[in-house]
Amino acid sequence: MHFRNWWLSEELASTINTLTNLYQQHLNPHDFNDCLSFDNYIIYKGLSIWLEVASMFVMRYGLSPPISFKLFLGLVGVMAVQMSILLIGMHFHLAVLYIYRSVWIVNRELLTLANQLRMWNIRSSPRVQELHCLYSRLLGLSNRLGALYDYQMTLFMISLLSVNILSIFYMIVYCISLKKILTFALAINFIQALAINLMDFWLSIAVCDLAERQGRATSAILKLFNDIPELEVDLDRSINDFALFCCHRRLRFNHCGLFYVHNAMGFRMIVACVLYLIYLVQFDYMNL
Amino acid sequence: MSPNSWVIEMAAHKSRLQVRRSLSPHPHALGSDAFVRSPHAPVGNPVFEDIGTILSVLKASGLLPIYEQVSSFEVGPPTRTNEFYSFFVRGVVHALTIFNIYSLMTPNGAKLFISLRETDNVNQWIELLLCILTYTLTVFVCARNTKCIIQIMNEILKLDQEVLRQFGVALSNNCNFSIKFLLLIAACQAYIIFIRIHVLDGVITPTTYILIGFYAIQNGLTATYIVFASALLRIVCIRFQFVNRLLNGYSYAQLLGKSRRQLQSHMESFPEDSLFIYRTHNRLLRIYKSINECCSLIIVCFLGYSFYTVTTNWYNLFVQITNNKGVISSHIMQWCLAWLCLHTALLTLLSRSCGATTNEANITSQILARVYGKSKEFQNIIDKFLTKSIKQEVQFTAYGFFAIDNSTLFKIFSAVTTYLVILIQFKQLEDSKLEEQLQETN
Repeated sequence: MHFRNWWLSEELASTINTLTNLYQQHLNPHDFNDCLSFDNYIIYKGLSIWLEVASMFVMRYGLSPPISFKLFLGLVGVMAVQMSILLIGMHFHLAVLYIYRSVWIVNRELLTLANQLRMWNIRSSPRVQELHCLYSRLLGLSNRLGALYDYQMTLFMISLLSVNILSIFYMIVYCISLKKILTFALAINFIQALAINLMDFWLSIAVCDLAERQGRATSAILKLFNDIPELEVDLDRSINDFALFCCHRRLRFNHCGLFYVHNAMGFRMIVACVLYLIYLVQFDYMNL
Repeated sequence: MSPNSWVIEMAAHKSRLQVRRSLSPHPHALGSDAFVRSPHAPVGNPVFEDIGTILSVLKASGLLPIYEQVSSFEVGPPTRTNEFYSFFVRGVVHALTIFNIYSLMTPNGAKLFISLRETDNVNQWIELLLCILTYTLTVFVCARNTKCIIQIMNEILKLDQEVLRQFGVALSNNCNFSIKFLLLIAACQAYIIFIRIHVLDGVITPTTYILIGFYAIQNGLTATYIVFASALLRIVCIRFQFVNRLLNGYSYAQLLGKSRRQLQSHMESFPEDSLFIYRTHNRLLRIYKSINECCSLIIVCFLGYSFYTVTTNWYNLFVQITNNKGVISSHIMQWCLAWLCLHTALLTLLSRSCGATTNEANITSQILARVYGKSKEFQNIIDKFLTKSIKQEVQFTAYGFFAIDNSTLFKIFSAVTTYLVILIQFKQLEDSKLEEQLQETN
């Protein structure tokens, strides 16, 4: 993960530069304040990272009470590695969020334009061309970002899911076959770790889904231009171009060419995990 | 200057009148039921009178806001007292839920499980917890979506008003199924309570009664909410149908065998109507999407719960048949059949109404493609819509997890089969393990 990150660092830097450039040129004069889900997702992600760190600490600390200095150093090292992995996940999350917000602004601009065209008798506007251009640049950026982070994010998701499956399985084995009574503290520990892991996993899915939905909303907003009578030919053409562009090149995040990330995919992943867990339990049933 | 414009206006007026006449005398071409009602009938609340019963049930249980009727085409937010009432009911519900979970933990609750095996008990536990979870989630989501629901209702009413003004048509809803389903739910739940109490032996404490009763109410209300969502979808579906019929009036098939002059006069109103159609279609899509957003979380939870219940009931039936060599104790069979009947009916209703609405929404572009458009102007109008609908399939999704339409029913039942096989394998493993242990002790 780190190796790939380092390997592609130049490309990453240029991508981020393009993004900031785009913001400076086009988007900064706009008002971002009412983009609620952007703020919410940033808060969720920050919260999830803090919770991850806290839960790791609690787990390590709770499971091995007598702590020597060496053990402590080891723990700190492991936690640092995990922390860095989490931070890579966060970078991707933030980048996707920024793209989401730009698309959101494009959508809002289009919406106000549609309203203006309907309210006042303006029949032409050069704005659509600009928005089209902006949208296509955003799409290019999102593709580059997806390509940059695909291995990292895939590994990140796989590790989260496998940790979840294994931890549930070991918990079942621990409780039933070893006939140990689940203490309250242990149960709480287990549940919080599981919940936080799931939340982290789901956030990484949900943010991609959010951006994708916003991309779909663009096409839906373009439909609003249908019922405005007597548009100027130029404007009509540029809107049509934009609509065609939107339906041919959609805003989607593909990891390694393997799968597109959206809610349906996340659901399928979780169902697969549950099935896998059931198979594991069945294999081990005789020993339980 | 002025006489010219006057003439033009006259012509436009005439053609409008013609369209209106052509709408009404051909009910077989433009559909039947939706247009039967006369527009001047006294309208109380024309859209929602069909689902009045279900609305009042949901209002009484605090799931829907007790809105105010501002005029016959607008509803307002609830008054302070009514809002407080809904709030109070929700509070009571949450308190009862907590009480129930507590009493399930005590040995009193353990009596409710009538099964013999470990696996079955785990299943029943999960089922109960899922039911509680579904209902609690329903209450929370409903409390959050109060404004959203009122907005959806207002949008539907506004749309109807516009249709009434422009075409003199009051759309009906055919939502009578809601009352049938309400009765079905009530009957099934009452029957299940009856069997459950009948089967329990020993002294029955009031706590158990509360537990069973509240469980039934939770089930019933969740099911009622699903029926309500389906009714809303049906209402939207009928509006989509209206738009499609309107558009169908301009298609090739309708215009076959007309003379050139007739064609021209018929198509004259097309540009104007197309604007109305596009606007209505957009608005309907927006309503559809907001219904989806309002209900999706509840529907996901309900589908999960329903899937689980259907599976466990099939499994129970299977166990009964294999264990007793074909003789089934009658009460368990009745019990399982009641559950299966209820949930299958609800799943069918939900997936059918979603499927129908999605289909109607998607079919618009198909009809539009068949519209008679010889001149450049009409072609432009048609293309405008079609280019923007490429790859824009409308879907009713369960929180983005999967699309709900007729295929969902098939998917759920195939998942039930898979899971059933897994459960049966578990049972066989358990049996063989028991035998092994017996042999070891001998």
